[in-house]
Amino acid sequence: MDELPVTPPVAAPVWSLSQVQAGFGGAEGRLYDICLDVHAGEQVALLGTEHSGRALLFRVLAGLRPVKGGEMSLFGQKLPLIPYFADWDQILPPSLRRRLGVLLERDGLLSNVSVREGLELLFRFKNGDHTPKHREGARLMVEKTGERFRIQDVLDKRPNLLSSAEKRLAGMARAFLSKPSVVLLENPSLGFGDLDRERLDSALDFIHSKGTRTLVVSTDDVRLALRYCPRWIVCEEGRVVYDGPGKEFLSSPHVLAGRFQRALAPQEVAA
Amino acid sequence: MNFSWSGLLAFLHALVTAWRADKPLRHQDVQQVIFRQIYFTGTQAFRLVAFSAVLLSAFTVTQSGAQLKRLGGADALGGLLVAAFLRELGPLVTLIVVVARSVSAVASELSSMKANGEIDGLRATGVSPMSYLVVPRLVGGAVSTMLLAMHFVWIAFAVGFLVAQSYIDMSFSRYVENILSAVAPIDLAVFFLKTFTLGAAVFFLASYCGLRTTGTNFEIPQATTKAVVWSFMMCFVAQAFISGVYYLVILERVAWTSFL
Repeated sequence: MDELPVTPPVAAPVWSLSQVQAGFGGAEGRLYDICLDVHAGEQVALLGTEHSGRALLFRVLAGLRPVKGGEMSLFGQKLPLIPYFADWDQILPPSLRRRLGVLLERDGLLSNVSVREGLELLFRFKNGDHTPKHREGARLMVEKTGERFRIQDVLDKRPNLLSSAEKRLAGMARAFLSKPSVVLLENPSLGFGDLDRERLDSALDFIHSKGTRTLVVSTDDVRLALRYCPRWIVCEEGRVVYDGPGKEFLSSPHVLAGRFQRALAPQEVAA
Repeated sequence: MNFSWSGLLAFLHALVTAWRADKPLRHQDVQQVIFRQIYFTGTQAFRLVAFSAVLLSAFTVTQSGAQLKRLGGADALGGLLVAAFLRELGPLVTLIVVVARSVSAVASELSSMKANGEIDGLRATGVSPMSYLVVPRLVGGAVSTMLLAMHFVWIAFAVGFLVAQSYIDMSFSRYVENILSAVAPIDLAVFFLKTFTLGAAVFFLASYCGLRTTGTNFEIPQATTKAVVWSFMMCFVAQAFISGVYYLVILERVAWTSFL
């Protein structure tokens, strides 16, 4: 008897969106019929101009905005539709939320405690551990992550005393604290001047170096998108107008491609 | 920002769901927030509540004591004080103080956290704002309101005795006997139930108003005002309703004339 051909196991995509519709509530910022799959290990950049729906798509992927129509699944688990007025708390079940690390545009660090206390608190709360041993574990984890993201000097300061770049790095450290398998970064280069850029590159290099980690970056920094994300998803007026290799998009006749090219130096465009 | 029953019910549903899923009272960090809330709402408001109890009790006994003595009804003073302070004024004045001090603070704190992106930050890191922010404020606020009302009542009774002794020459034993004979177990049950549930309800409204903003700074004062106004309205209506039920239904059954 002939053996059946062995087919390799096909892993479910991390995100699978089909005909997804979402909105912020007003006329602006809506998504229409979004269809896309993101697989494990992919590095994806979300790009678009103002009011293109990029921020909303990022929030939908991060599980922070409910989907109004269509179907969305995360790690193969279909997410239920939630009415807009019920959007008070977590949309994602804890088992899925634990696998995502999210940096938002507004860092959202707890303002009434130091960065260290905030990070330790979130780590403890997320893992539900409160024994002295686990408290020590949380302290060590925060210390280690602080060193990794080069914010160890500011760990004992309150967020209002941090520079914009330090806040972004602390936000990245928070997103990375529980070692998520998927990292979503919203405008990671925001607030970094030329002098701080090396710190950002070092943090992103570290995140990027874990090859199996899925990375989604929502950014208007074309240079950053080119460096870290081979796949680009370009939004315009609430719809995805391009989904494919970033370099191909730059050489396409699309109007946005011209605008993105102007943001790059001539030698970068040539390369 | 208008009142919406669907939003309020959805908020309640989210709160119950988070409570059941997270069991937040087991978290040490939540317990710390509860103790902090009790300190801010209870301990820091104690002097204001005590001051109100002293003034109200002194006025009440001064105005009514002399009249009662002239009419030969000095022994009715205990019933009057129990009706005034234990059943009505104690819970109401305490709630007014709590709403003015703490409900406004909670609503503005939560709405400014929302404006700063801290609520989304918590949600993004997998921490439920319901479990970490709303539950401890609700529990701490309810416990504080109940404790403050208890302090209000005993201070009012103590000051009532001092004034009664100097005004109508009432002895301590007679005063205590008067008070104790006027207090029924149902009075205490309604008192604790009323202060705890209304205390929880005003903090629930404060959290709802604070978190339903869309995250802009100009909504912070609006949320604070709404929380205070809605809480006051709810307190007055609930107090009137509970008192109506109490006098018409409960005391009717246990020969209410004996309490007056």
